[in-house]
Amino acid sequence: MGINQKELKSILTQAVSETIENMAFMMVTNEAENPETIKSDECLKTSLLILEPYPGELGLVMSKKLLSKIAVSVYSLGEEEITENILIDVISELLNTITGSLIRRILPDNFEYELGLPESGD
Amino acid sequence: MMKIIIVDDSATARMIVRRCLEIAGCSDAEFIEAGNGKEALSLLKEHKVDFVISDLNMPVMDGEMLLKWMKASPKLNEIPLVVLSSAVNAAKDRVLLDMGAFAVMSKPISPAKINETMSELIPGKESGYGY
Repeated sequence: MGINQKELKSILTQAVSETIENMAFMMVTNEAENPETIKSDECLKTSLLILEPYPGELGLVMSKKLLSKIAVSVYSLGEEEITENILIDVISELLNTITGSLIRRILPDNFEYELGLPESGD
Repeated sequence: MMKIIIVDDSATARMIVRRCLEIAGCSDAEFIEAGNGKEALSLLKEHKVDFVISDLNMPVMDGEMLLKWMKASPKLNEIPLVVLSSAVNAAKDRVLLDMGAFAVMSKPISPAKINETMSELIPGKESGYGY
């Protein structure tokens, strides 16, 4: 069961697209030619362990600005009502869903898998 | 009016499930939320519900344990429990369905998935009409 980098990138793009489109009703495109630089204090990070069948870890880093837009869409709140805790919950659930979607695309159907709980930080 | 318990440790996930259920035909339902299986069991003692929709991976008590407890209880074993999780595939589906889950869905949820998987639980959808 070998996957090359290009296939993995394609699978990851599908997993991210499916997740964000269904959760936040936003279209996802590949990276821009001149991506914006985002300072680390303007981002949130989260990670999640893959426990079975093969140990691994996935991480997700997103700008608070983008997370806030997603939160506004999900919660139907004004931007000023979106707290840091909501942003952390949104990024955690995004990673949780992306990871499951990714693993289902990589592993054969008869393999059970087990994920840890997302852990977040700045 | 339908009463539905949504169980997930993520408030975001609970919000999305609620929104999708509303779009799929449960706009008049009363939604009760729980952050884990243990909270769900407490709520089930107080409320007569039409079904439960639960994540698997949760702290304190996970969805699989909640399913076991519900199936072991004479008062709760008839209540449909739908599993909604990022950690399911065909292999896990079979295990959960054999344990008595009404249906299993993988995240991300959508109104279309709800109609495909659990339309019998949605009012007006029992006959299989779309939304």
